[in-house]
Amino acid sequence: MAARTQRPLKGWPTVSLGFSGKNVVLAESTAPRIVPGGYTVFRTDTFRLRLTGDRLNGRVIPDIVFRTSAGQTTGGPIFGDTTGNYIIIATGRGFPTQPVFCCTRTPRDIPLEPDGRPGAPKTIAATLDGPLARYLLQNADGTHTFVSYTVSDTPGQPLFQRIARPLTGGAPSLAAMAPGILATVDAATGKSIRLTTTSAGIYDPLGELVLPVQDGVVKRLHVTRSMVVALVRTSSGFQLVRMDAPSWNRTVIWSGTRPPPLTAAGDRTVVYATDNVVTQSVPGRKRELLRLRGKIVALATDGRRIAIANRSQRGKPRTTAIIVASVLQPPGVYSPGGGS
Amino acid sequence: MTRLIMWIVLLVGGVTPAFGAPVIAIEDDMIWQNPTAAGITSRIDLVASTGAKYTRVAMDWPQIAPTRPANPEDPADPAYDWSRHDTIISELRARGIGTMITLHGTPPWASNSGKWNATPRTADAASFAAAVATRYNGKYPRTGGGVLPAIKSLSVRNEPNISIFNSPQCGRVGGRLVPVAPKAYAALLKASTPKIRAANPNVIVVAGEMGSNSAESGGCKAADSSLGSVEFTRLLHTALGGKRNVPFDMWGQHIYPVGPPNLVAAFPSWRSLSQMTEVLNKMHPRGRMPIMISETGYTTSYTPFHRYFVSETQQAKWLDLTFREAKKHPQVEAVVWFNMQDQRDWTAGLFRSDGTTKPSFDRFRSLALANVLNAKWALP
Repeated sequence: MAARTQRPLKGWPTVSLGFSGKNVVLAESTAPRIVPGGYTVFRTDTFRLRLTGDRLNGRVIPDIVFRTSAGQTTGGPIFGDTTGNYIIIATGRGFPTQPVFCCTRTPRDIPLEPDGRPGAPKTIAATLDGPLARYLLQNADGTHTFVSYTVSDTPGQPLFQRIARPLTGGAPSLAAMAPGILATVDAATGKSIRLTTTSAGIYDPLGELVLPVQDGVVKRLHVTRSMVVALVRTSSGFQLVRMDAPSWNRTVIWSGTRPPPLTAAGDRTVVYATDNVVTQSVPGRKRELLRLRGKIVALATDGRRIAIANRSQRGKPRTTAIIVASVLQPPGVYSPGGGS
Repeated sequence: MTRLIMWIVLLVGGVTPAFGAPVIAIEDDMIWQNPTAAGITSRIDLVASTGAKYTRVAMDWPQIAPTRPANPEDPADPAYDWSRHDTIISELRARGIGTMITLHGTPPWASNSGKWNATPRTADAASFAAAVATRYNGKYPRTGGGVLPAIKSLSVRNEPNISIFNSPQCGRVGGRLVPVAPKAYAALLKASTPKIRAANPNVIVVAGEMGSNSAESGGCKAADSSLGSVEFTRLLHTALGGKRNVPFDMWGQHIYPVGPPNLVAAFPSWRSLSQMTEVLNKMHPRGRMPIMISETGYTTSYTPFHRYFVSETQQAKWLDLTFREAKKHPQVEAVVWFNMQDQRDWTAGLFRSDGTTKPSFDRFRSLALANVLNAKWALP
């Protein structure tokens, strides 16, 4: 089992996790506050939990506070970079998903698509690519827009410049992004994954690659700079498939009748949670990483470390532990046949 | 009989004596940022489409006076560039819309730090306020003939209790951090108001324009700590000598309730306004300080400056409730909806960023068109 450190949260909030530089990014949606008078305030807070090496060092930086009466907020996917910045796609009921960038000095956080109308575009994928936030919008009419937004004050880059282009190559049913890469699933069949490289300045299909056709419809998609991970629904159940550069051959790393509730990918590591077990997959090998008592409700990895949110009670007040552990034999130091 | 005739004349003219519903106004924070007359005109057409009879307009001091004027109280000093606001105020008046001016910003030459949000040197700020009051007193000649319209109200600083508009808030006295902004603001009011009144006796001098902070800050923690609205007002009153005759005619307060306007009890809100009036009424000769809610609204998406938002449908409902609540407060004479159109930092608009209207537009327009101005607020 992997060594780990953890930080408890009170109760069982809805949480999502990500990595950014030397931080675990936590989005915590607390129970709605009913204010005397009878109106409801829903709230999501994001924090950076500082890491020293692979361990939580106890320091917490509060970042974004997201409050509304429009509907229940549920955190949202988090996409970090290596410097401590991140994008969260703020998600909830009663409002369209909104990408929010964190963190500049003033203001600390930037809403990238401040548009709350009912028919506003939904953000379905995002990444940070150097000074640019990139994200894909699904418009109300079914078309998609690829946006590059300058969020870091880099010499020669105009700050807060937004460049939007229509997405070419047909409407995707699913999309995922990594720095320099956009992965989309063809909506017509749901089985074909296309990789498109994105240039430094604007969306520009410099090169496209269509991966081997899947055995069924892709239901979940992750992409990193060197790997694509797909959860595929087949005639007999579900498969979790990884395809690694440069060959992009398909490797089924898990199959079952019910999909694993949580999957995450970072660099060349895949982690997934089934019941209370977290399993890791690195090229050529799969192994159990952690076995926990309570329910696992959030999962993230940057390839070298994983973060887990684990609910527990055991006769005590409800708590959610944010656990950080090292990936065992991460790619780069992994040697087939070895082990710890 | 004479009285009766006067009443009939006032009512037929769409003007009633000073009671009833407050003025329903709107602010377009993008007007003054337009560099061209055509751009300004298109913004003003949008303002006119809302039906509002008054609009609050920010006046950025550094934009108008990038260099120090030789004769700062003379609006004709060549250091001043009034072109944008001449166009704004004239075009608004041509459409039957009155203007409430709020000054903000500090030119680099008017403070020690040179920062935009720096507390200005009192004499410089007072001279600029005098120049504004003179230029827009309804008698000042306009280039090309005629006169420039008069403004209805003038406020010498926006949100002086918030460090992004007024810094420092706190300073070290005897090794301890204590509030300094209220004293500096008191000095500014004392220096400005006599000059404004001399130049433009009809203008309403608005003070406060308190940022939407809680009532008390709990003390200074740093030089840039922002002060509580009630706390700031109380300290201002002390700095003004604790008298009932204070150098302003009306108090501005900004309210952004986190919840429905009729239910939220945390300051600042409609239900908690009495916390402020209790302090303000001690500053008024008749114990009844007029109030302008110079900013209120509900954002419809996340912004970095207001992390609470509502759906567009809810915004329309709560806009209705906002103006209904305002009627319950007889001291509130005007309410300004901020802002007119969504932009990245603030999304309480009646228009979305793409120019389409939200459900709140129709609600605002019907209320604004039905809004009857009282005698005090008759267009200048």
